[in-house]
Amino acid sequence: MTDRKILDLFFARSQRAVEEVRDKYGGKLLRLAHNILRNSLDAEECVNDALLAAWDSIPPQRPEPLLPWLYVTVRNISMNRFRYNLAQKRSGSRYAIALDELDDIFSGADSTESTVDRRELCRLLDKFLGGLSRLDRTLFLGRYYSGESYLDMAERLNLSEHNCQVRVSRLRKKLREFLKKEGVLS
Amino acid sequence: MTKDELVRALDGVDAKYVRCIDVFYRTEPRWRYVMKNSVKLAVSAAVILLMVAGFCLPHLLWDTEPKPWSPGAAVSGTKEELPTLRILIDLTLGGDVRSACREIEQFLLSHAEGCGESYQVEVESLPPIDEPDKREPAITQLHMQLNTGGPDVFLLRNFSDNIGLYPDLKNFFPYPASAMRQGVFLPLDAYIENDPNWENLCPAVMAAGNYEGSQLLVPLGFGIRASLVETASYDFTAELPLTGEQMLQSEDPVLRWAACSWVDMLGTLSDCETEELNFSEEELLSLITSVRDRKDTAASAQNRLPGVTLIPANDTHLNADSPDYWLIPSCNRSGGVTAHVEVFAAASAGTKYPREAYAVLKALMSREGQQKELITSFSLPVYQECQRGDPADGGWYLNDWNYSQLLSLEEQINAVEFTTPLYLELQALFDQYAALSDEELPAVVHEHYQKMKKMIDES
Repeated sequence: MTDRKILDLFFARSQRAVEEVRDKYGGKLLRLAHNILRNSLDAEECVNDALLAAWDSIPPQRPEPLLPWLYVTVRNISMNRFRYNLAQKRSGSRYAIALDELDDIFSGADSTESTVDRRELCRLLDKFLGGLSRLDRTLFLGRYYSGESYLDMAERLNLSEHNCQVRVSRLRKKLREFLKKEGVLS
Repeated sequence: MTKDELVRALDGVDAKYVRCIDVFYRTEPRWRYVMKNSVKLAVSAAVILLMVAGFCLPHLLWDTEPKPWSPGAAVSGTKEELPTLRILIDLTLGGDVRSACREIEQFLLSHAEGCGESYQVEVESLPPIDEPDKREPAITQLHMQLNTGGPDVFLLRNFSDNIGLYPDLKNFFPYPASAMRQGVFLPLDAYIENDPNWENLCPAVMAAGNYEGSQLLVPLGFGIRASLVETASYDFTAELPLTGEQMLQSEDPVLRWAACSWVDMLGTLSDCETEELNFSEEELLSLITSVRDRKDTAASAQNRLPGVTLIPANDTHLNADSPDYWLIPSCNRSGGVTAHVEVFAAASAGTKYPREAYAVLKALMSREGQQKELITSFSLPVYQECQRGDPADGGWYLNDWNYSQLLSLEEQINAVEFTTPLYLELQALFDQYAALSDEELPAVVHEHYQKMKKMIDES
């Protein structure tokens, strides 16, 4: 079923809309949540919460195409759960391992500087991503947005695992330089 | 700045970038990727062979004269000696534009009079909206060609971007009415006079392609929004059309409840001649406030559906098993129904083949053309007999009662809007107004209104 037809079902307040989204995108959403949480029950709950959020938000929203909107929603919900789990020391997910790599960016930098406005930082990240090639952007977001392993990324992108690691490492360096240039990292 | 701040900022990354992670969630197994590589190699080898052959045998195989840039994809017939009609399409959200071109070409070969015999067609597509880097230059280049040739026929859908995924999304004719005024299209009146099929098309919607008494453009698919109320549960006694204001002030809670779309209630948004908005900022704010304040909860019920877009894609409540519904629109300020054109076609004023161009348009407006989902993009066909659907398909279908309700709505159409940046700006306001407080609303309305004024100045 097309996104448009699914959205019309939402607008017609038909429960079938949720079933159709689950059928069409459920697997993808579950995998994203699972990458972040590494817990099937938690992941499933986050996807259910995202479907509920879709039911509450559409209408009046009409996110077409639907999938990126669902990715953002699932990730936000999963990240909230991830942070909660981290506070409860119940983490150890793939995503946590990926995040550890980001320490590179801050090594030697003064992290006691005053906090940066979140919206400004989002804007800068968008600017950084906008300046990357499509492949580099996919690698960066695959690793740090959805917590993919290097092996999975290598398979999906037809690269070697080592190549993925090297490219992502360069991207971290590039981001570090970029943030310094923009004056948010000393 | 800390790592945590950076990680939190990742949550807010623009959705247009997020879509690239989809590559990790496709369910294709690994062997498919391996196969893709093999296919790539095979295709590369074939291309090299063809290039070598083309270099060695240019005159034996085909005419090697360089062709102008072909946007997106193009397919054409093989009879080189026949005049070629260039058809520009823009119908698919993304993905395989080539198969869309092929489908249109095949359809025209079978249904457009003389196609493949006295002329051939070359169907080309704009790059889809998820390739903005290619799309925008293609649009610019084609616009430059309009004065010196360019496509002979346009078959276009005006896309909307509802979540800001493609903030710079460009449609080929963002303001079709302006294009009509600027003389871009071929007047079709002489051909329509001799076309008996014209009588089958919804007259009020077709009138949207008429400028100063001349038919310049043909709508092919459209939508109407209406609320559905089961006849078994409600005795509808009011006489339509009402004005939007009358609906909002009505004693009948169902009518107040059905007056749910203030975008539709505005009717025609701008005056094509004076290039001014047809409503003031105060009127807009007042209308939004009235719709927001309407007391509608009492009228809501399980068997009543607010603001359903009446298009075949929406077959959940309008199918062979549906009950009889009253179809109640959000009437506009002039006391009528607002329709939205989703797909339209036109012939270029500069075409050297006007008769053939009309043959193509005629095929698109024919019963067969109007039954093709690609041509109407799942919206309501303008060919009224095709609007009922087929009960054998198991999807969209209007029983006698519901079909008569739809026809009755169509008789009340007095405003037809294309998907223009102006309409999208209002839609953006519509998407957020419900969440705004009374204090926030005036400032947000002001901001959108100023933006719309600027848009109309630049249209």
